[in-house]
Amino acid sequence: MQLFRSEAHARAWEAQHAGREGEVLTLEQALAVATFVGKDRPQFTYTHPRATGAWESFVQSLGLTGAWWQPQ
Amino acid sequence: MVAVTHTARQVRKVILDAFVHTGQAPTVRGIMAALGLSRAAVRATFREIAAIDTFWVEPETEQIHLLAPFANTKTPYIVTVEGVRKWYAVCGLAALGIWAFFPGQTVQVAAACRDCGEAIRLQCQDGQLTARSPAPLIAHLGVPVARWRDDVPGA
Repeated sequence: MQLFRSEAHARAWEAQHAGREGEVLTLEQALAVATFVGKDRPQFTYTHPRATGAWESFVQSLGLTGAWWQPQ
Repeated sequence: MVAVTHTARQVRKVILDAFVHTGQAPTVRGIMAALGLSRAAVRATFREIAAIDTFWVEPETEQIHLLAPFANTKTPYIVTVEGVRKWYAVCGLAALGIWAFFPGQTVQVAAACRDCGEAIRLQCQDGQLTARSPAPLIAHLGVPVARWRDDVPGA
């Protein structure tokens, strides 16, 4: 995930990098995803939410639907 | 749920502790010494760690490139904690989550817009975004979630 000043900057970058067309998140959405994925990482028992089954319902709660967001 | 051995979790902890304290990943030899494991045993745990976290080792050299959120090479996401600058985050997502390893401390991220190069500054503490510059910022995910494991740098 990369950071940009605006969606227009992200789309301009996409136009110069074939195969990197993707999805745009607000910084708040990105922080929510980063927190969901990363808040327990220091724990000894950590497993990434993609491997626990917790990922799908979380991204749906953010309104992130569609094949792009599915872990499989 | 993925089954992971206690040894693999110990190795993961050794790697993360090294990143937190030094900014760099340990070598395989260092992990062997820390835990009294053989090279083969350490390498076997790498496959387990990759099943539960974002982890990338160069197969030929055994060099650890990253264990999220930490990168073992320079990236565009430079992390400073309480004024000490010695960490690199794997990507923007990792940069936004690296605070979890530094509870109660101020974490600053210096990056740049990948399009125009304008400086981007973020500041977090305990999961709260306390400063950002410029104010309008967005994140871009260039790889579908299902392919994150295969294309970590691109994601």
